[in-house]
Amino acid sequence: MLIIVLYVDDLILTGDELLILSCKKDLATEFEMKDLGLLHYFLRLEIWQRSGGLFVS
Amino acid sequence: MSTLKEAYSGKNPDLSHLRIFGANVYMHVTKDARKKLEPITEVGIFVGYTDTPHNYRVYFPDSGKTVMRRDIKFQEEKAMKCSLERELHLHVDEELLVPKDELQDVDQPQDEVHGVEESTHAAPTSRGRKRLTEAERLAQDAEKVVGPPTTQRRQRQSPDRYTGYMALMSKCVVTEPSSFEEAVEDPTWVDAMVEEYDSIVRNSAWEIVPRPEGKSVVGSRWIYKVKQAADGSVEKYKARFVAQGFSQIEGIDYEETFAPVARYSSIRTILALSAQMGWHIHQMDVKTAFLNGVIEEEVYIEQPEGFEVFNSESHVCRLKRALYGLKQAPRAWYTWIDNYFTGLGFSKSEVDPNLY
Repeated sequence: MLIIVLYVDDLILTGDELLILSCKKDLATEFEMKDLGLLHYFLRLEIWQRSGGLFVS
Repeated sequence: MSTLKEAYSGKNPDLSHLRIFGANVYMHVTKDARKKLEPITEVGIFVGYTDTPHNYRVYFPDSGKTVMRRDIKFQEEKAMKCSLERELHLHVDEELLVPKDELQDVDQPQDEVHGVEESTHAAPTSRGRKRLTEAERLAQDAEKVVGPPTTQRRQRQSPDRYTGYMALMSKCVVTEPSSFEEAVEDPTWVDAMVEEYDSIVRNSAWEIVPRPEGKSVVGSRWIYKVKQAADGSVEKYKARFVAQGFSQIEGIDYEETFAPVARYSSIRTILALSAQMGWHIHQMDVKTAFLNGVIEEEVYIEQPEGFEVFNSESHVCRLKRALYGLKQAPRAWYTWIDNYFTGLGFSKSEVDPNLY
């Protein structure tokens, strides 16, 4: 399972970790991409990812 | 006497967030950012406002940085009276004291300065200072409207005592050039333009063709933008070459322009879902995204200023890829990435066309 949200030129990927990583690799060969790692800031939402869950402000 | 707003709505504008320009500012240094015996506060100078309410722009002479902060304490009583000049003479580098005729743009720290003028309780010294720069700016604005004067005019000189203030502003407020002529003077911006031009060429966004007869050619220009990191420091100098899409004619230069973006609720839903499932969320962004979009219509734009092809200076660019500013650019990009994802075997959500 892999979910992608597209916001113009920003992408959010979530789902199975292995699929995310391979999809990132595919994308990077197709487009000039910047990998921002784990999501922490998106459309004015600040997001903290911790093992127990996720904090949004 | 009442303000305009009072006369109109019966209420006075809220000025409680205004502070005296140049006031000392004390910022708490958080525990993890300092060592045991290091001071727990840092002293800075208040230099302006930001778009976010109650966020202030603070200049720290020790580190030479300007940052946006809200967790700060103001000390306005001792504010003005020489403190600014003193600080400046201590900290501002010599090279910042540029010749006066180059100071044209330095005193245009956008709206921040406007805000300060409304500060009715500002100390006399600060107001004097403000009024002068305001007058100067007005004079410059007037000049721009009227154009260069044909008659001889008096050499305008700002008194020496303001040099410090201007140098401070030039250090805090990074100005963005508004034209190519301005930008080409500064190596930083030239580099930025070369970078943008390279990525256009790398994506073979256009081919150079002789100017077509009877076809309209869309104008083009350079846009310069300083990208700031979250704390207000300069992250990147970005030059962008854009098409002046406003001169495109519907039905001739473009057909469809609509491009969907993800709905906020789908983003929140995905966040909730991944929290529930314990998934990590990764983020990527596509550099020069629009350059991937394919342009199907026949669109010509002018060559980028300063990058005209030698011996073909009057040629124009026939676009193969989308450029920022072009009416159909977002749609071209969306079409492209949509094809890419569905080609990979992703299925598109039925309720949000940006969810795969």
